[in-house]
Amino acid sequence: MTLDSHTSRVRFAGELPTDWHQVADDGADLRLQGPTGAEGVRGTLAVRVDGGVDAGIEEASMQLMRELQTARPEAILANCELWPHPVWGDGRYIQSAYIDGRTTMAHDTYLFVDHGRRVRVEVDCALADLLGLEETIAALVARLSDATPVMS
Amino acid sequence: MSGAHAAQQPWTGEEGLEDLTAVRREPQRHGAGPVLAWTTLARLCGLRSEGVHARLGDEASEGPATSLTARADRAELTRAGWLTARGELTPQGRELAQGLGAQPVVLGLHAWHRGELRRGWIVAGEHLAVAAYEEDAASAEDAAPGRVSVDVAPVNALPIVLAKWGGLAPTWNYDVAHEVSDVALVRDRVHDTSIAAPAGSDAELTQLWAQDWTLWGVRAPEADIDLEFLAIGEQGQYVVRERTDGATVLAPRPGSLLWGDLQLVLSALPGHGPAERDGDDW
Repeated sequence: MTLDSHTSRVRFAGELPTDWHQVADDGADLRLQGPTGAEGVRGTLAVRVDGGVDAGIEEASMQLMRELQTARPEAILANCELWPHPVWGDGRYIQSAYIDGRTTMAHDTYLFVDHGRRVRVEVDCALADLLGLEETIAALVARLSDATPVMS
Repeated sequence: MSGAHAAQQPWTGEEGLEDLTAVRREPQRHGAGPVLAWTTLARLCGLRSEGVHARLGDEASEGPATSLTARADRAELTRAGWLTARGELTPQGRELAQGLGAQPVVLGLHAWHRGELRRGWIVAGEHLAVAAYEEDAASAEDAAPGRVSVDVAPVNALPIVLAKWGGLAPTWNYDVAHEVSDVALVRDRVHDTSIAAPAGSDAELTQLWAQDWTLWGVRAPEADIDLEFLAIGEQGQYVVRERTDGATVLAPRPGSLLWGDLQLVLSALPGHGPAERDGDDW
């Protein structure tokens, strides 16, 4: 399936893997989910773009990590590393996980700052599924881009 | 960073990057739940490896439950809320027993810091895991376990428990691998902070040597789990390994890889299998 969203500020360029698909979400610029396992959809990827951002990636990164720690004090903030994107430049890959009842969830964020916008790509899946999904997810993130080119 | 300062610091590539020390948390090596003797907890969990043949509260444990030791166990477990005064499992105790299943696996945790050994054990079952953290430092690796503070968590939270034990946290670690003479030297340095850096060490290794070290890991021989990492001050996590040319190196272990190592511990446990893969046909 080739996606061509006209309402979102973000689009996925190219073919999605057969077991991933786009779903409607008013709260996100783009939402992908897949694949479906015995217990339902195993992973979601939601892209949100915020405008009017003065901060650089360093400040946005710290702000996001502090928000994660405040929202879920018992969660583990496991990793933050540099993550390049072909359109949005050098960003961050921030990994966290938390216990939700009898399940443990991974919550990873690919974060970019570009042309005064903060782009958050948030990935949620069971932590036990993360290793099996993260390679595909990284490839999906690399194929995200602006729905219309952003001029300097 | 001035040239003189740079010469004293390991190269991490962090210049201009955000200061991650602000979001670092201390390692977590204590439980928020009851405190009791490890042997008592082992009896509750029915750990055969600890010389226990049946769970306390099971009908089959009526025999040993009449012994003095078992009566002391009962008192502790009653206080902890897992047994009734009559020695039967409470609903909470039953949930724990059912969550652990028939054959839980025990993972041993260790953390050497400034010559002091902290130990912990995770009883990982079918659905639940019991993390037990020894209250006092151990006198030796094989010393009889003492009293432990306990947390109960879903077994799939095992990577989080391990990450908190080791103090995994965001760190810029773009260091290179440093040659050291042998593994024993690194272990000696962990136990005795006065051990000097190897002769001829460059400024980077000398600086690493001067920082605070914690050697930590997790072992479960029956599940073929044996991981060990060296947390070095604000520098991040390292591993000591042998290169193919025979040299022993102190090598940085980036956070995402170490986080992956800890996730694999869960899939190495019986009944928890490797995670389903995705995208192989893409």
